[in-house]
Amino acid sequence: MENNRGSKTIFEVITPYATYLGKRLISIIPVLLLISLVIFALISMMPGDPIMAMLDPEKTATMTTEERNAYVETMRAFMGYDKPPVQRYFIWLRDTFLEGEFGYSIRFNKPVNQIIGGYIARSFEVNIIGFFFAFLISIPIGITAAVKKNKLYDKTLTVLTIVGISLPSFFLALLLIMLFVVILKLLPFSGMSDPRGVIPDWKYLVLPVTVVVLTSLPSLTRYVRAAMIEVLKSDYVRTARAKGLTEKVVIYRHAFQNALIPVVTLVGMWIPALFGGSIVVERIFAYPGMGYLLSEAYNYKDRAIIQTALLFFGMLTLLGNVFIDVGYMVVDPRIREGKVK
Amino acid sequence: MSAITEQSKGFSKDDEVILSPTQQIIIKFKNNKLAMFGFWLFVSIVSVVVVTHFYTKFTGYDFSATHPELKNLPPSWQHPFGTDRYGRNTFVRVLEGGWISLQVGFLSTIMAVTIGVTMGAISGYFGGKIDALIMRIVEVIYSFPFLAIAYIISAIFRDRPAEFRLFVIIGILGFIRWTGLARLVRGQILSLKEQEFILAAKALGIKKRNQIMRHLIPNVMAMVVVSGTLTFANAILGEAFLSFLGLSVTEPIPTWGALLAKASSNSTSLRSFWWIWVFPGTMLFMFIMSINLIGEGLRDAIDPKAEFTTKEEKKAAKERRKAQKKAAKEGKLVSKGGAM
Repeated sequence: MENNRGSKTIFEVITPYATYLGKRLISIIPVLLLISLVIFALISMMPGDPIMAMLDPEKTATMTTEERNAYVETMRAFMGYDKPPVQRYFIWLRDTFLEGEFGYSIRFNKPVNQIIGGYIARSFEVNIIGFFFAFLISIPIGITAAVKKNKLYDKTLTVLTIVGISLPSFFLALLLIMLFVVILKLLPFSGMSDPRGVIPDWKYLVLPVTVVVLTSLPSLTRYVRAAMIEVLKSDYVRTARAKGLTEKVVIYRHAFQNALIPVVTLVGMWIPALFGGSIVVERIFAYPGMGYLLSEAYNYKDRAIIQTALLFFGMLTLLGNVFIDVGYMVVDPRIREGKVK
Repeated sequence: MSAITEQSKGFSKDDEVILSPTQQIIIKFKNNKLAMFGFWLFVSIVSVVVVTHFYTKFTGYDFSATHPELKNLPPSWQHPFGTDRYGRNTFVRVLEGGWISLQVGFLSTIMAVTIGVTMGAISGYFGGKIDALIMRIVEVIYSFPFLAIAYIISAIFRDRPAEFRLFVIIGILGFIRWTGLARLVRGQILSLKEQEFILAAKALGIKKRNQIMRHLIPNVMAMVVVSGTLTFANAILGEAFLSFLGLSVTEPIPTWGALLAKASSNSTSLRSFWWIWVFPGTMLFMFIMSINLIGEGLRDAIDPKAEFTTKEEKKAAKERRKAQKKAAKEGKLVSKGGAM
């Protein structure tokens, strides 16, 4: 590829991608602002006074009413709730985007940016392992199904994928717990590490990862199969066969590479899930990732965390879309040439 | 090709049978065993749930009535799905739980499809600034994490009565799920509106509204139905998620998700009282599967490139493939075009 471009330096090759990436990144800013506005409005409508929720009962019990009121007012001023909502929104925007301060968590009594990183990392750990295995398994079986279209193998797989898609993740999680924890007693029930240090940490990861693999596997397999069938119909595959190439070379060298193009879309769609985790699954396994943090934050009415987490999810979805567009440009020569020249 | 067509003509009583697209879809769907299995599974679950709902309504069955002496009984003939910790009959509760799922599924799908098709059609037909605006809205709604937003909205209405919360949930699901459909319809209409029949409609001076309603939308309807089944399955799944988290309709009205959630809190209840979560979970799974099977069957049925429609044609196609294989084995060069 580089040879064809002759004297072009790497810098020159990358520039068009970078410009396109820059343009797309700028275009998500207004959308992100709109999303932040909706999130802020919704959270402001949540019932309950956040200041009352963060009062320490032991501390306030000995106070007189006046002391208590004064204390509440200072807390309110400290959290910024004494200002009107519109002003609070802009302060929040400024703190979040310009200063990287995501607010103060009343659940942990710490600034949000000190705690959120660990939760994101733990969700990422489970999901990246899960998606890795899902890809590893689904690509070969998806291709085989496409090659053996309408044969018994393909039909069985179609039925299995429909079963897999229809299985709700929380029901699947319960079934797995029943099998591996209750009946076979192989794995721990929930959590992420053993306080006594007896059970190795990886055993806690097995079930959450299995759920991620099993829930993403069916749709990924169907996707790979559909993409491959589409490619196998194309003219260049017929040409490759007509040239007398073996079936293996046709499938793996000519067809497969092109079948991967739509898979880029899937990776883009997965970006939010990759860092975000699943509320339900993480709650069942009591695995402290982003989903778990969010559901805890709801219970404690911890607005700073909810706001940050939702904005984070929204931003990931938008970045995923950008990834899809740029990814297509990188992978697909037709789009690349059209856009670049 | 011609020989086969004549053969199938010979089977029918009339000399010339022209099947309308709808007829073709129905025939193809009926010939698909898997889809028909899904269809009958769906029909039976829906009818059992509906019958139970009205039976309990008219006999005045009390879902909150507790029977401490019947606590935590395993399945028996009297209580086919056992009883829960208040001694309530899980069988009736599981079937009644389906009623909520049905309501949520149907109403929110109707809502999502209506909004999605309207927005998609307007966006695709008019283009320009309107299109840009609608697509921006779609992008914003699409970027929201569904469950997390539903969580907040449901928390806002936490103190309202159950009936009201049910409609809130339907509203959330319907409003969040229309974006995919809008994109789909828009894409279809963008290509359809360049075709001759729309040019003809324009030349005839047909009103824009009628161009969209009478000429464009009927052409995308088949795709909308397929995509609608997916929305339906997702809506039911979404409601189950929310009620699993305790944010949907609450006790004493049973829902599948809430019934499942009860057993998930610790491993003792998971093992000892397995009937409490296995039955609602299985019902939810079978119901969603039946919808997905129907959707899959419809997707195959609306495919205009399908090789065959009627049973005779299917047989012929099979024979043809066999012959092709045989010929290939014998080493004869069978070009694809000739065999087709």
